[in-house]
Amino acid sequence: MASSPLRLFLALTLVLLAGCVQWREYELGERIEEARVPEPGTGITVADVMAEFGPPLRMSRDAGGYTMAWEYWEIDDYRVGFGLGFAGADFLNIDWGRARVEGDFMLLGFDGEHRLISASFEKWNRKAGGGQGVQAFVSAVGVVEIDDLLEELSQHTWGAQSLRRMPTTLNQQNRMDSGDAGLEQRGSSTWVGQHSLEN
Amino acid sequence: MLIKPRLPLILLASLLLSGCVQFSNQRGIEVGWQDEVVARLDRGSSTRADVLALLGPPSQVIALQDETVLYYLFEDADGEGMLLILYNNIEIRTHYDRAIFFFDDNDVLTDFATQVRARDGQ
Repeated sequence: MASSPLRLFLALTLVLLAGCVQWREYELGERIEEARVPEPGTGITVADVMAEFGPPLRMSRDAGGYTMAWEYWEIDDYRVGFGLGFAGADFLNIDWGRARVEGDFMLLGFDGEHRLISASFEKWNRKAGGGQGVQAFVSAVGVVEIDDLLEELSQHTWGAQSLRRMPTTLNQQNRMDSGDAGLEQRGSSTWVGQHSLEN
Repeated sequence: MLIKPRLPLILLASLLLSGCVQFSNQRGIEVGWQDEVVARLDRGSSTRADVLALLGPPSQVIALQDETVLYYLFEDADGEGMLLILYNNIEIRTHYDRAIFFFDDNDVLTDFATQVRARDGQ
């Protein structure tokens, strides 16, 4: 008999708290080991590199040849949310979220004769954003934003790139998803550099 | 009185009741032809027309200094998730099957590479 009120309380808590935990894990591409990054000036060609790593995920021509990039991303997105119905304020929701990213990025430059002339590698494991909030009635605004990190590769939209909104289309020759004007990593700001004319 | 014996069951079901989801998402050009391509193409003799005839239109065309690159991409995402009432966990893995072909200013194949993930039955 003594446990009945406790059970009732737990049942009511489940219903009224209306809480939820979400943990989403995204893995894009394959890991790159820093020890395998090729050394420039040793006669390595693009054929050697592609035999080791496969075709690049990003590619662009540059002044004297071309640039290729390989990348790996691991994104963890944690979100917790619950309503305050148990406290008599059922019109309020509390949200908390955090995102972390871990990844590898290898950038290689080749001259016009397909010889490796530059190489750089970066490995990161860092916070990618987060927030908390109290919102009325429904949680209309997310506290974690990672959509820009999950975008498909630009190759899928290559043919449609000339049909975008006018400022973007006029900037086509400077865009870094065209293969003609350089390349950029996921999540790069669109408010500086070659994208700034589009805003 | 009927509620009492059922309440623990309801609570237990609320905690343990779980859903499972499995899903996949594909974008781009199917590249299940790796062996065939490698067998039929030769550096220095195959042409852009040969590649296009074998594989069809590419995902992207890149004009280099005096070269052309055809890039084929197939993006394959799969995942699974556990959906509890109070806790959800979803894992999504994305793989990139891809092929790249370099041609000189005479449209002759100079370099190429492919990377295709092994699948069941291949």
